[in-house]
Amino acid sequence: MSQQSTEVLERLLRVNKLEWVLDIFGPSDRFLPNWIKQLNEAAAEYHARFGVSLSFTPETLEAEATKSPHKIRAFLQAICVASSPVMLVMVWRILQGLKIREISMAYRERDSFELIVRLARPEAEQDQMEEYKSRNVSDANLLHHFGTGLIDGKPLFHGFYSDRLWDKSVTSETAAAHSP
Amino acid sequence: MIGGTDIVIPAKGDPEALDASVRMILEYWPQARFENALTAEKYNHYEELPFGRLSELFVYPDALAEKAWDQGDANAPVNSMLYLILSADNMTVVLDDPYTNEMRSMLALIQSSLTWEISSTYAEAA
Repeated sequence: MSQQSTEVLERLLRVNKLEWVLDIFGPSDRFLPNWIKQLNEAAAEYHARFGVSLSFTPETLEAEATKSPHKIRAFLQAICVASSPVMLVMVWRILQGLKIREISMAYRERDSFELIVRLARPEAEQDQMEEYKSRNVSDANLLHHFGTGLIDGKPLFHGFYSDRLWDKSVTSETAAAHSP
Repeated sequence: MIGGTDIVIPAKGDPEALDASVRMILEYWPQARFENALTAEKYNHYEELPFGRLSELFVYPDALAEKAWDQGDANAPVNSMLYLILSADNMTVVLDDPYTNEMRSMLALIQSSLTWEISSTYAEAA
């Protein structure tokens, strides 16, 4: 991990109006390397699942942002709340165009939480779904980024979108109040 | 032929609005093909679309429809292409016939997804 990578990641956060993240997560020289480690673990998870090498380095994300800036913005927001590389891969797959086929969530107060998201390519059969599972309640925040709609009265989750409530209008004080 | 019906839907004119619209269209046309209406650059799959550099997009239901349009087929079926135009405050969908069942449903879905986008912007401003 290079000094340059952390600088690129910090720049990405600022460009995407997430500079308040730099305030609430503490000194950037501490948490940015952790985030980069998370991104590397997501790349490893992606490779383990699909046998394809995919880079999630800040440099790669910055390059991708020139093509689809809104997707990188949404992904950066996901890094803030996702508990694991598995969930980050799930988010990335949705950004790649996979459909959200099934979501199940079970929760018992102060006892248990489980979230399962199943994705598939548009043309895929029911038995070709990818499964992403979490037992960390923080991952429930990811659902807030899913688009929702109705097709002929039936429910649809679609896409992973950035949340504008996260913009710079959220002051660092407000953000800090909501931080653990 | 592409008709003269413009459906103007209020939207925040950013790449996310175009992306959401395309995703809605894919719900109905999973084999959709795409073309940058300004440069004629083609995209066979959603993930190839450089939303940050697109403001006008042709969407075809499938490769066959795309080929027909490329060959200048004057008898192209009704609604065999959608023309999306993103502006600062709107998403315009140009199509032949907005009153077919498929188009009614598709346009309603696009509208609801873009309304959701705008409402989150209003919430931000409040």
